[in-house]
Amino acid sequence: MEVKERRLKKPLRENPYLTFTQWQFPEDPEYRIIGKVVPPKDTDRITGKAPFSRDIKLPGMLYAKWLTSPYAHARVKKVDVSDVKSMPGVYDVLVCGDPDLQVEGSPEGLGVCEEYPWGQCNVKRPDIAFILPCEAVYEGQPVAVAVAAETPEKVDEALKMVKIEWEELPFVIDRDEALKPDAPIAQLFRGQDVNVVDPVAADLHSYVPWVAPGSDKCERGDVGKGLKEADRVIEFEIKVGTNCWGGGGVEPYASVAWIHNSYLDIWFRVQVPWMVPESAAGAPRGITLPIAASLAGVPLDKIHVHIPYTGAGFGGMNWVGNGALPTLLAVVLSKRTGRPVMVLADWSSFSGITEEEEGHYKFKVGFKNDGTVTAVEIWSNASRGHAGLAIPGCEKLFGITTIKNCRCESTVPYINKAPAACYKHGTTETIVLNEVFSQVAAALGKDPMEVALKNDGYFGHPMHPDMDEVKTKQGFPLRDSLKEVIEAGKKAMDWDNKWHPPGAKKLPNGKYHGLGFAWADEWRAGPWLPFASDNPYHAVLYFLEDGTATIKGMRTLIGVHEKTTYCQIVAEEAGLRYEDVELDHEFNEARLMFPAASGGLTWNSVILKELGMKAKRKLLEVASVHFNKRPEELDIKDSIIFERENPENKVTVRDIVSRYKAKFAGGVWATGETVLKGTEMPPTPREVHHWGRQAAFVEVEVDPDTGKVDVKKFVIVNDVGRVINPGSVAGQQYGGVYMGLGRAHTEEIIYDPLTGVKLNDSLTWYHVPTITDIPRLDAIAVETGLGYSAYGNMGVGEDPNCVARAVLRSAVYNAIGKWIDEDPITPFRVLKALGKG
Amino acid sequence: MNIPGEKKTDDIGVESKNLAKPPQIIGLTVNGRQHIFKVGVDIQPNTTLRDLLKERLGLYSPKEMCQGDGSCGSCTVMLDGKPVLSCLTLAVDCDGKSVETVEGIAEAGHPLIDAFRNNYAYQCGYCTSGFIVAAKALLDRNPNPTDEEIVKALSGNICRCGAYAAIISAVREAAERLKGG
Repeated sequence: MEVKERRLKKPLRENPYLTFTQWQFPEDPEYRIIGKVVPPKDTDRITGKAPFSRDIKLPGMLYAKWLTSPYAHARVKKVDVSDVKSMPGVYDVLVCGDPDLQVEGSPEGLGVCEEYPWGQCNVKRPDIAFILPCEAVYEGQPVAVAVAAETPEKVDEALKMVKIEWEELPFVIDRDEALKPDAPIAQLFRGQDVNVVDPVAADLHSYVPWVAPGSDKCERGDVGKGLKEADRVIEFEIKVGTNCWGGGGVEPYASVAWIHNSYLDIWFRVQVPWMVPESAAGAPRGITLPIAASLAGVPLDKIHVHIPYTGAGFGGMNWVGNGALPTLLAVVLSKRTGRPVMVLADWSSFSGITEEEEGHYKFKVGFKNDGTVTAVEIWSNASRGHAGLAIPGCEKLFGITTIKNCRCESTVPYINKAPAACYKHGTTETIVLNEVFSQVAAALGKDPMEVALKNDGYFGHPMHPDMDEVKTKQGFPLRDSLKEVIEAGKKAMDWDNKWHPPGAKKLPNGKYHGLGFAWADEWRAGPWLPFASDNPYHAVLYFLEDGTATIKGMRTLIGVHEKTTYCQIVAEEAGLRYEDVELDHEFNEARLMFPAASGGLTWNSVILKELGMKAKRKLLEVASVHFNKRPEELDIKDSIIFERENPENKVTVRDIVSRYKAKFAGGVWATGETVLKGTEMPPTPREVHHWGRQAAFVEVEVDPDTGKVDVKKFVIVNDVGRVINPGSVAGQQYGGVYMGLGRAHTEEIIYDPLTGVKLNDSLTWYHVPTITDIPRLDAIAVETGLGYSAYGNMGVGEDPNCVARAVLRSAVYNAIGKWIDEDPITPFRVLKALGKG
Repeated sequence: MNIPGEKKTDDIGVESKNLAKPPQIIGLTVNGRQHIFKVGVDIQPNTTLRDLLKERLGLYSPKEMCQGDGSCGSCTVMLDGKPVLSCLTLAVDCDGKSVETVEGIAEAGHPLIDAFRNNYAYQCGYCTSGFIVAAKALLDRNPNPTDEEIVKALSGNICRCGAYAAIISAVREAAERLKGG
């Protein structure tokens, strides 16, 4: 396949720190607006005019905060708020156990979990979070008392006056320790006599369908047989520490609720504002509003939802403790005080979540001398995402390799840290995937890309020829995505000239030189839901008499240029000018446009493409009366409707819409079903296959005297299927790499083993990479069209972070010739591996 | 009452720092407009400049990523032409001074705004105001910065979305425009 390389013009993304390149293919169509860098729509974010949740102000609004636990594990014995209630400016004091929070069968009061109405959120569910519990299970947890007062300062003063008698309880913050028989029980309210998460309650099956309901493992083939077939078997383990800041975004959470005249108005910062079924199993997500309505005593049609700008999300925003708890507390306090109430969740930055990859992983891998992996066995105790059970390896090792014999098993403990939640979903899976293949390549002395290509596949099958028939039937090109991203990345890194055996290259400056490679699939390959049978998502487009058009549909503006890209697609398909299209993301009644973060464009581009196509059809039907021509004899470009045979016979969209207002009164709506790729392929619900691949290439220098790892150059290659907006794609690639590198070697929360308290929960001591830490980055977007969305596009939000998070381990191994079995790769751990620690 | 120049001792006879009493009324100019606040009424002696700008003047732009320990840079504003962290600056210390926020920079039509837009030099935008103010301070004192000087000037600001490289491009473009390029 001939590859046509197209480099974008300066200065958009070409400077000493970033070069952005697209690898397009000769048959790719050119669009008028899609694929172009257009002026972004949400420039309020630049001018300081963008209101975020904390910027909301309402007449008479009160402020509220929680008390947070100073202990890793403690129970409230006695609370005295008598001095607080009489303080000037204090309007309400809510104490755990208050009747307004009581729920039958829940000693900790009202709790929410991710997927079920609160009546079904029993304490065995690992993702449950309580509005105001009496037992604190981690330091920094919002607990025991909440106060509402005139100003945030008065709330702070009032909370200081709370007299509370704690019962300090034994705690455990290490996952291995928590699984020992004599370990202290980390979370007493669950009523368990062990710390192990109940796999039945965790219900991983609803996320990963090939895990049997209630199981804590996934299995394929016969691992024992696979190990016997192997030429060699290796065993190794890694322990991954905690990093968490920013996992739920950078804006500390805040929610406003106002119950007035039987209505409930909410301003909040959540990932999924309204209940929508996401998974094929139909599990509802985004439950905040139905619960809020129930608490407020109003029906759903009396809720007005306002979604201010959002200081990012990164996956942790999906954890109900971050978004739902402040919202529901605000509703309770507004009901009690009769005032609008803003709840400030100041604790959320460092105590909102821990990240998904923390844990202990043990591997046993069998492989042939040619690099073919014959068996993998993994045990881990990580709690990947959703604050619940996880089985690392069950997604990517199972889903995107040829390995026929796999067993991945987890024993997940409750510990006394904040819940582990998604943080660029797929991070854990990518670490596990690459640990297997990097170690095999190292053991064989092979180039890691050779091993990756040898084992790349689909649910135990080689991609070729096994999946060719499916690809063809579903209308996809017969491309090999991993091969193409490797080809692009190797060239950009000059890999073949730089590659050397482990520990073999010491530079004149005394440092070791290393190269690393990591790969993964694209997690958001397309919409997952059973579109044809149960698709609740849609958007509406209204034309206005000045010729402009507004897309209506609820969506959190999480910071991925949603307004811009959505308007690009509709303008492209409808024949409108880009500047004539706008997005109203707070349209309650069309609330079903997929509103979350991951794959937002991947999901919504099918809806938006169909919306644009329907809008064009509508315009041409109405214009056909004006022209006295059939619609197919007309066309639209740049908001001008014209006769195909005689382009000078034309009229503006504005003229048509203003002249025939009644024809456009109902707007047009779309669900995306007609443009979804792969709909020809039974069975229903349609399976979305992951054809797209991503790869990271890194060049490092490791100082053997200090243990410091300097990243000299980074190449990130993402098969995005189709670039809708180069500015947005480049931003996701660069930002993901930056975040992944930080999490790989500079970011780690240190806990005091004697108290379980965080020692560095400040950006002064927790090092998020700044602009001074920039490595040179080449970002390459490969456009194979292998995604299931409207243009063959797929997501790019998660994977740059995931492969960047994973790749540093193999690069440091290549530099110093020794694997580091603890992670993140801090200078201390490098020195320890070199025998100097 | 504190009298300037007077030496004071506390109850155990240790000489204390001679602290001037905060003014009862402070006046400051924000984005070209004059404002007066009564200390103890409109603001308190411990009110930060950030809170004054947000709570009293309704300016959204100074953000609070680090929640007040000065480690994120998202609350950066210009005070008498120099970048300061408004979360660590007391409002009463700004008496008689001039403050500029990104709202003022945008109203003045500074090329940084267009440059940030053209270069997609932001994603969620929560940190963006701080970066633009810090960049404005750099360009005011050094209209022709090198990349290294841009990096140094913006080193106190954190962007978790990771727009750093695009921000460098934006600052370079703004510098070119200021030179008439």
